[in-house]
Amino acid sequence: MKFLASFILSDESKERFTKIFNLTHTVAHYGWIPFILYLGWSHSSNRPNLLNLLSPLPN
Amino acid sequence: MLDYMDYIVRAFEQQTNWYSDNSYENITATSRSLLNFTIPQSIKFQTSNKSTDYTYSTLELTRGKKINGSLTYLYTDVEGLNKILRNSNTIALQDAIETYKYIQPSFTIDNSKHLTNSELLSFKSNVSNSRNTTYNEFRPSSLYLGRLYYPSSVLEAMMIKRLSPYTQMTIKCISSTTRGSNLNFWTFYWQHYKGHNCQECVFSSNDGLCGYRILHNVTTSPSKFNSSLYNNSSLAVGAELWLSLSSLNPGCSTSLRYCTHSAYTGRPLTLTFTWNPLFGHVSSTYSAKTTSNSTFTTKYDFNLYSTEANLSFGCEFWKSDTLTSLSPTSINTNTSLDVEKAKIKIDAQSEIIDSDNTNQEMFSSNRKISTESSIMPQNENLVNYSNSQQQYIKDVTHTFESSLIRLDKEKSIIEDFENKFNNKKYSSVWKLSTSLMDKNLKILWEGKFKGFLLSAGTELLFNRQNKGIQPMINPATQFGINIQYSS
Repeated sequence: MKFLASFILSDESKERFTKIFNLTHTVAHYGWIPFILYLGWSHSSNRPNLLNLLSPLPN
Repeated sequence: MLDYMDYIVRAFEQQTNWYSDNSYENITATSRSLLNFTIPQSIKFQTSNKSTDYTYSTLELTRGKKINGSLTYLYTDVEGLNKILRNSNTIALQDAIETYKYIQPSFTIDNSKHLTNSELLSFKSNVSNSRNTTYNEFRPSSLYLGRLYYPSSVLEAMMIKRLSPYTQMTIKCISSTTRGSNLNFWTFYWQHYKGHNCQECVFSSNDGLCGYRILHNVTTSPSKFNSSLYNNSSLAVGAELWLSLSSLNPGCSTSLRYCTHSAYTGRPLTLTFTWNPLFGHVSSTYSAKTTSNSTFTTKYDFNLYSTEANLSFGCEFWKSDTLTSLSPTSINTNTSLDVEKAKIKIDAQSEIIDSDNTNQEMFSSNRKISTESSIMPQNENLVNYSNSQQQYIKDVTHTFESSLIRLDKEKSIIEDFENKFNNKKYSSVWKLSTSLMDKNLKILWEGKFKGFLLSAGTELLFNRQNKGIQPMINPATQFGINIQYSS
């Protein structure tokens, strides 16, 4: 039954998990809009430039 | 007024043949839009742009106590969206505003889903007044939306995926990277619409909230009761169950909705009844479109435990500037409706012909005739058939001629009334709502001005003062104006 003890995470492992989770969250948070823009850019046949994609102002 | 991104999400649903009006969430949408409309609370300016054929962006600036804003980007891979989307200059006002919902009976929707491609093609070619047709083979499509708020850096994300002709999955998230902020939630929706049931499973990470919603359409065929031959009324019954996994708090409600038309004037009306057994809350609404320019609604709330009651009234008045009609390609005009109404007629005539199962050829011939919107078969159409077949068709047509003429008349009255509203060019709308318990009057004006969509309103409170009843502006809402522009 000794192997069950290995399932209990040490403080160091918990901290590592928290760091990985926070990093993933930050990447998803700031990467979501660039991901949407990339999908729109890659799907368009004329491949518009970055300024056109980003600008919400009328052309 | 609809947000530009909400407008695109609706267009996405229309283009992918997803009928959201038949979900339990929207069962009281008509009365909600007439009584609980949102009043702008500050000065808000919104500009939107279509950067590519698949990408849309919006910048929003709000001037309240301080300047706030948001930047929104949307991507969708659905084809043909550009054909139905309009900018703020060309959009019909009735498409940009939440108003009376014309509920399409479920049997007409189901028929369209079960048709084969060849049948659809024949309908597309035969029905002369069909607008932009959306009947295509199913293709999985998706929509991605991201909105970043300033200065809080809160992200709002949404993803909609159509998995099958009957299934749609939606994920919504709110994310904040501010240290110590608990504003990180996600909600998952799984919706299934098949047959006459619209089922929905919801899970939210906020309190571990689980929910199940179902709406069942009782009317499964265009039945002919109340001496009305053409009947597109619908009766729907639904319920929802909620349970919070963290606190084990339950919640539930059940509702009923009946939509019908006056056979003589073609004016639609909607009745709803909602009951929450846990809180003992009973609510009933009655909404009617009295003319093509006005809608009235009333709502009565009653609590069985506290015996508190409330009566609310709401109305809207549309103003059209010119008599010119719009091009028949607006978004809210149900593109499938005309085709489906033709289908109802075909079904009615099919029932007549179905009595003779052996004569399949005759069935197809009569069906062909009926799609050409003629009750009496033309002589030139009968040339290809034998004498006995021709005689059969003439006998059947003669027997049911009066009924078919009456059916056609009732149908055209209802259709005309709806088309009159959809094709009219409106310039503004006034919305008023009052509640006897709250002693308030909500006023909202929405309209178009030089290519801009404007929305302005306020809420007045009538409190009893020393000198009698004095109206005052609600300090919570004040006065606000929204300005929208999209290209």
